[in-house]
Amino acid sequence: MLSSAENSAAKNMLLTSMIWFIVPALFGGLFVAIKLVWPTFLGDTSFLTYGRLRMVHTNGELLGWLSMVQVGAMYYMIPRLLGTKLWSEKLGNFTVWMWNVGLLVGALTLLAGITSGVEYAELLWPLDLYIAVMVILVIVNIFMTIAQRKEKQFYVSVWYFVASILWLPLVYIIGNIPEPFLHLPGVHQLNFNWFYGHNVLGLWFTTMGVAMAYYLLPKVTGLPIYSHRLSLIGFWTIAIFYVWNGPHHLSNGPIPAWLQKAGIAPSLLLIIPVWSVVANMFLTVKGNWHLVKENVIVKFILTASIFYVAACLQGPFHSLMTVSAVLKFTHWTVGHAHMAPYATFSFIGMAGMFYIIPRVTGRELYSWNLANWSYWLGTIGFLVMALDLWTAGILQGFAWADGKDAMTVVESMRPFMMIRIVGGVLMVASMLVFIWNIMKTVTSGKVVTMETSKNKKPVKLTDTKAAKPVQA
Amino acid sequence: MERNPYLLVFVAIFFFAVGTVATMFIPFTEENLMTPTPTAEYRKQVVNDNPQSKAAKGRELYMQNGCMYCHTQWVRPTKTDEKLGPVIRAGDTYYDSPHLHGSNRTGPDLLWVGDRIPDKAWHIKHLKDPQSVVAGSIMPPYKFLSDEELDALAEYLVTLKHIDNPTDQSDPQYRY
Ligand code: HEC
Repeated sequence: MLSSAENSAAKNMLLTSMIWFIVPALFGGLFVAIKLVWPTFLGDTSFLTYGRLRMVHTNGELLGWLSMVQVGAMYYMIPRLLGTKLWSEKLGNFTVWMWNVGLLVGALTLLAGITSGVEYAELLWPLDLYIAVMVILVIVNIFMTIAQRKEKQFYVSVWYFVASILWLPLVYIIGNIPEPFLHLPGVHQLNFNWFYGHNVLGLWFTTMGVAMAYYLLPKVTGLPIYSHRLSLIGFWTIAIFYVWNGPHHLSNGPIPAWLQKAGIAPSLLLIIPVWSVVANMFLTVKGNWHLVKENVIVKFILTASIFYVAACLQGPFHSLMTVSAVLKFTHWTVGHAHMAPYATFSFIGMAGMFYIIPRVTGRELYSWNLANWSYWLGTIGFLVMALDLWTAGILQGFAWADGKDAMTVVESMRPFMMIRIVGGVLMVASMLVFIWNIMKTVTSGKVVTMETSKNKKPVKLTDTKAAKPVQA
Repeated sequence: MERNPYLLVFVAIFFFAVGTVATMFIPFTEENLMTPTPTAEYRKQVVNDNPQSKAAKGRELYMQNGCMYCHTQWVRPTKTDEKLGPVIRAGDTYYDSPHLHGSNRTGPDLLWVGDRIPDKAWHIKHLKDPQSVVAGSIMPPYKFLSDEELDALAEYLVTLKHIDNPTDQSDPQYRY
């Protein structure tokens, strides 16, 4: 049942991740958005209500799609960066099964209302334990691969991958301490909750995504990364400062002033790693801007970088107490919360799949044109949703400050909730096009002959004929 | 370090530990965060001490149905929250397990909803069909809950009230 074929773990992980891209987005994202305009949409069956679907949305997208696409990419990239093979494809494929089965059980329990009640960490503790074991199996596989490496020098992506897979279990275990067994007094628990909510983004999705981008960009452009040193500055600043940020989610909350500041000051310092990554990406491509036009993968990565900067400028901005006083609890936060996971790391995830899937299946991508469609639908959809939610949030915050009645504010949000649906439809459309494209690639993409693949010549990467061939 | 994975791992985990201890564990030394208020004692009495009580069951239902994704229980010392009642104190949710502070206010804050709407019958009617009680509401109808469950949930909601704290000192640092 478990294949030991080369690349099969990466391939299976990436392909199954797509289920967890679309299903939670459609049911948990789009349908939930529709419910904010028409609350009786989908009737009132318990498992299709707002709260239940929302839990599936966050857990499915984050622990499902994003984690899987990133681990799948790591299974592909780490061996290549270290001049070896994945230590055990079988173990890798076992984690693919574990991931999908665990998520399915997780989704069903959440739909049934079986939850720990802690936002972003809703899965019950036995499932948390299961996930911890699963992650440890991933770690074993990666470390054994490192042990058998031929290439002694670590490229920066390896740094990021290795650190991320160790941070994840730490963040996960600290963030999911089961409340029934170990009661943390109210505010401490809130603090632990946001330690998890924040760091799973920063020390898992971000660092894994950055590792992918650092691998992909030089590969598809054939250009060396602008500065190795800059990439290491970025790595160490994120490693040192990120973990401090949890308390900024408690801005204006019942916590001591020093703790608020301990959360806010490092958020400002996070501009350094963000800047270093993004500068490195742009300076790498500098002078070859035509690549952005010609190559969808480059376009995805650079757009993701722009959204990454934007997300990381917004973050410190609304961790400031005066700003937070207006924007916290509003729709603004929802717009912000989508930017890094969707517009940055899902974009890098899609770009990664456009690159990797043809290479692990030996088939050319079905259509670069459709890939371009995914890009535009996703980008425009996200911008519509995010700009709408940011505007809505600002108005909502000031309306509360004005002392407006709660229901008046709810009603004034209605047009914004409608526009949000439009954005959501475009984003879901982008995902459908993406999945169709990948499925078509796997089933009927043009087979690349052995010769070209032995030559390590890349599968055709660009969407126009004019593009220059690029180095792999 | 560019060749040695163990050193890399060690240094990365070291910095992780520093930040974790500073922001997560040192706060346990703060007396303010470790002293339950009368509100907390009341909540403990109706929920924690009595897991079979209606209020405790109602609290479970609140979690199971994700009410906290649209409702906060968190009143801040800010202008936006001035109409919502007393500002929350660290000790108020001391025994809450897990906390239900929430992060989004699509609907109103519920920290002191029991003071604002003490009428259980109103809550039951509202939960079953919010639109019939508040025109234009976008709260989902909870018709699928049994009468007993609705009663429990309503019971929980009316216990969300403020108990006077004679020793309360408003922390000047806390109001900015
Ligand atoms: C989709 C978001 C949403 C969800 C989920 C939701 N509510 Fe609401 N709720 C609202 C909105 C909007 C209002 C304001 C309009 C109204 O009173 O119906 C509201 C109002 C209320 C009020 C009246 C508060 C007041 O001060 O007038 C109570 C009580 C309440 N909700 C309880 C609950 C409970 C209990 C649940 C979970 C079973 C829940 N809500 C789930 C959106 C939501």
